[in-house]
Amino acid sequence: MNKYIEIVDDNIKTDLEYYLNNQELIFNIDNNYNIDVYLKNISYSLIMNFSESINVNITNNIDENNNKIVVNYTIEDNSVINEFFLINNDGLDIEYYKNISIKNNASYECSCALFNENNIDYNIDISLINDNAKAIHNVATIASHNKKYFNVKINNIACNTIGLLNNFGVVKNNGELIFNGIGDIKNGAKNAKAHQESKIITFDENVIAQANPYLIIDEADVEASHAAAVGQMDEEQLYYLQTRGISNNDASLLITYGYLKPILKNINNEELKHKLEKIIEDKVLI
Amino acid sequence: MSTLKIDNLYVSVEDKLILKGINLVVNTGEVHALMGPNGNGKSTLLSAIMGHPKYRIEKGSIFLDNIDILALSVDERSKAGLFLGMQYPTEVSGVTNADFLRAALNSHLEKPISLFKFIKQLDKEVEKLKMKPDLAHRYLNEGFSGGEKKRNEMLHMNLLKPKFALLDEIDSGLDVDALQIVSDTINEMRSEHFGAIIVSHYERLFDLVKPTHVHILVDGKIVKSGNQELVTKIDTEGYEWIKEELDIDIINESI
Repeated sequence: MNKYIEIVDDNIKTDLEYYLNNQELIFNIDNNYNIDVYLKNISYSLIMNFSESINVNITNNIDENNNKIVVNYTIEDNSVINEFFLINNDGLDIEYYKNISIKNNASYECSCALFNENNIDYNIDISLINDNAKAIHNVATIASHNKKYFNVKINNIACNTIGLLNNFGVVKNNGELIFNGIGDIKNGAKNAKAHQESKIITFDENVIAQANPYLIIDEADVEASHAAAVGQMDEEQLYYLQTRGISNNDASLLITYGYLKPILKNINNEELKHKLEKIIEDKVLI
Repeated sequence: MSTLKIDNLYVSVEDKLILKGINLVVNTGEVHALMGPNGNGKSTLLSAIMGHPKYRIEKGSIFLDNIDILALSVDERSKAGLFLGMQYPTEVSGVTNADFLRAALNSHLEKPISLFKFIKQLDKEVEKLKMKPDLAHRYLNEGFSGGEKKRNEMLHMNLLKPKFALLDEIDSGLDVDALQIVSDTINEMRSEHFGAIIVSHYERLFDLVKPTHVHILVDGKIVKSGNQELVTKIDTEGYEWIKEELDIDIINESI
């Protein structure tokens, strides 16, 4: 069933039940919904509590004029939450803070497609607090004429928990892109898995690009890995495409497109997958 | 008829002179076999014609009819009618064969090809080359076997229909069946509108694709030219006799 939450200048329109507690806007979600969230100039913190054994897809559209957004989710046992995060317009700088708690056998998957022109400081802290909880966080982004910082942290607190991070980015035109990926496995989180991969392509020399993986492990019985790479566009690939008649500019666009596209393989929800594919196509292959 | 004319070409790579005065004229309708020991400049010649940024032209000229090829960028050379089939085709992750080929094909056309027409044409060629039907959706050369990569090069050639194909060891790593398919593809392309320079070490390819001319390239120069008998002689006797016949001291002096 489709639902929506639209908050513009703190005016709330929604077909979901909610209540206000000080500056917190609280939703208790207890059914299988597809929820479209549209936020523009909001000063509330958005709290979503997902009840047990539900399946929810959230599409987040953040519009200009937000400068700070705070979001907290609690995901109860056996629920599956898929989220898609998108910033539409090129307005003010955005600071985004999100805390997620995931309980027994529940899973959370989030894919961010951030190709907007503004600066962004994106922070997410995901806690896998009970056994078999799982989280996947994907980012595909282009920093061009702006600064984009991503701090993505997954805490494996319980046994058999899985945390996966995938960050793919392109930096050009004096842009700045920093991926900090943090996997924190607590003592007692037996058989926990923490894997992360960060890749950045730089288009020109006047850019800042960092992919920093951190793994903090306080348990012996775990599986963890990280791969981080920052590099220039592959000259041989450019040449190869050009030998077939494709111009230098079109060849770099095709390679960029191809570079960001592997993010799609991490997305399980087909509808969201197509949506993201379309966005990458529109933003890259102009 | 078109003519590819290479005149007194000197090419260096990372400050090392590799080609030392190549003269070669290829007309459409002709297939030139280019042979020679490893590391003597065969691939360099093909890459220099196509315009690989690593290869620096020190001297000489390359003309396709009246077009000064050396003044063109790589993609413009392709559009002028040159095609390079590579020994080691590059893998490009994330870019599907279909997206890539359509972009390539459109770059050669004034009006973009319709999706329907493109898919029909692609399906036909894929079937002819006995490639896997999911090829269009796979990423460009990624995870392809050696044979699949070479067949994919042939697919590109077939779709782009160049005036001159430069084929660099297109037969290496092919099994007997794949070699037959690749040879058939080249032979089908042969016409008064198509010429080729084919680099290979093996007679078996030139048995299937009969060259009209054969050249031996040693130390950056074409030291001997002839017909198919030359291929057979090299296949049975190697290159030593050429060095003796031409007096290796003369070649060394020119370094």
